[in-house]
Amino acid sequence: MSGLSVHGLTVTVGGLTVCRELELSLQPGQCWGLLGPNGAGKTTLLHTLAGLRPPQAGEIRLAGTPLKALSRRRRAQLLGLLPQDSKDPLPATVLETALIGRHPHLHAWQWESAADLETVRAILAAVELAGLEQRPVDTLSGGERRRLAIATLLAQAPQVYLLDEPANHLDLRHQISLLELLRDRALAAGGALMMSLHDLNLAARFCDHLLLLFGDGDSLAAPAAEALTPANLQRLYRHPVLVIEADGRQVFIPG
Amino acid sequence: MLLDPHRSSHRWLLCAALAGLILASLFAALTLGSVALDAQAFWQALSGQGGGLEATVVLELRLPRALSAFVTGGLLALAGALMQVLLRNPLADPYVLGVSGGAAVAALLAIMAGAGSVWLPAGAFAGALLSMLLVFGLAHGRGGWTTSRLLLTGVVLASGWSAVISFLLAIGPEQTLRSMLFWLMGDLSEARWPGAAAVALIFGLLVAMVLARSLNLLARGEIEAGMLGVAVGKLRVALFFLASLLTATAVTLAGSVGFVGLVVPHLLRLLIGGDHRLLLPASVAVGGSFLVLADTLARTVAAPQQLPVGVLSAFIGVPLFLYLLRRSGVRA
Repeated sequence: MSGLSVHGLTVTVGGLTVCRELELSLQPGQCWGLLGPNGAGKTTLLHTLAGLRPPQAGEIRLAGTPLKALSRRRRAQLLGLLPQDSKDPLPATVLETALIGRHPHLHAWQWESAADLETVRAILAAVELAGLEQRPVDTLSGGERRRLAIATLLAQAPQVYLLDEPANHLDLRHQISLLELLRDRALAAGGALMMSLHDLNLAARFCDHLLLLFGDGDSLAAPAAEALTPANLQRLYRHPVLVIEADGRQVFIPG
Repeated sequence: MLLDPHRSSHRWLLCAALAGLILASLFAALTLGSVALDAQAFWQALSGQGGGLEATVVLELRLPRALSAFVTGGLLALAGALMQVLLRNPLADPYVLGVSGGAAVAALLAIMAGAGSVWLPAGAFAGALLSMLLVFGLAHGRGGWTTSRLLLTGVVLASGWSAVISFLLAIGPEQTLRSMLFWLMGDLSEARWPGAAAVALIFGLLVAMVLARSLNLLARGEIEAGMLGVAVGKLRVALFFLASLLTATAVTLAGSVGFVGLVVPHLLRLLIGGDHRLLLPASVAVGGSFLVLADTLARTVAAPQQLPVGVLSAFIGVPLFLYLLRRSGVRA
């Protein structure tokens, strides 16, 4: 079975219980949203699912194999993470940075092939960074850097995409176009996504399933339509949320 | 950036340029000096014909010294490039974690004790290893490593060493003070054939080349590298020991020569880009050649007075670096 599945997962960090005995299955073709207040442990959970930190209890399986049993290279071919922030203290160009996504697909002494270069250039064009290939990364704007990080993840071309606040720093148009790009590429390749978001309208627009972290160890994993109720959202953010209809869509605004 | 690392023609061009630089620097080092040689006399001396003073000067005095300078510069530039990735900080140099401080304290003690020329390098190497293990043990301690903890441990230990150095200089007897100062500034006038150090440089470069693509990833971030299949913890420990051993070897050979390890890798990042598969060998070539030229100047510019090579490397390096940094800033 492909995708990512989680059984009895308990994650704690610094005295906070992020989730308790969580059951979850990210199946191919699904787009999950991860919602929760600040400090609920969204990043910690994503890092745990990515294998960057061990859970307190439970098992994570990637493509049917326990995550721990996969080689690093195999895991990197199957699973990718978009970190919340990227820092670039050492100089590098846009093209160099995006090319590192090809690392898990190359052998130890192999240089990136012409095909790799072509793939990466096409991806840079898709995130609207064409023409900036030779620019130093530290001269990019925040939104351009975010698009570069997304391009690096797309160059990695994993099966399971874990995205930590992918919409950060992006303007309105790029929020829509980049999330569409990520979702379409992932799903077209038979993959699955999970993205943490703070914007309920983006969650409603893109996600078919949601995982809500309430910040006290309780969580709710459900199809988006079931999860996005005013009662759940009020409990999640400890603030009332109004749901209004506009243009055939549900729109969420703070009450 | 002048280079497209993904075109093999550019890579060969870079190789040719670096080889030319190495040969030119060695040629200058072997021909210039109190006994100046033209090209013909030089070839005669090198091939063993002609005999006499020229051959002795070139083969027994200048060649070992030039090779020592090259190996020292190569070691320091390579160690600097590795340290910058390990600490993810373009300001890191081979000495930032206190390796040279430990070596200096041991070397000064050896000089004060009047130890012979065998014990001085041995003591320096032992001091460097001790300092390296101290930093590793203290920074590693409980739990994992973080970049900032490693950096802080190293920097604090380095300032501790420098206090000990000042103390030793203050109480040191008058007649050893000059050789102590020369050691601290980096000096190649005592240099002999750099046999073991050359082996260390070749070994270090080979290991570093195996790690080079992983270094490209680590330079972008620990999470990024980890997610793309790099064993970040193991890589960082390997980097720490490799860079420290290279630094210890360099310090043993020539004292603490400043500037090469900081500036050469950084300058090359601006010129040829951040791909470590090219950056690491280029650092060795440029760092080595740079120090060969600096040392040639050190023994000719105020002849017969010999200057410490560390002073000359800074005299050339500082303006060159500032110029290139300013130019790249304008273009960006």
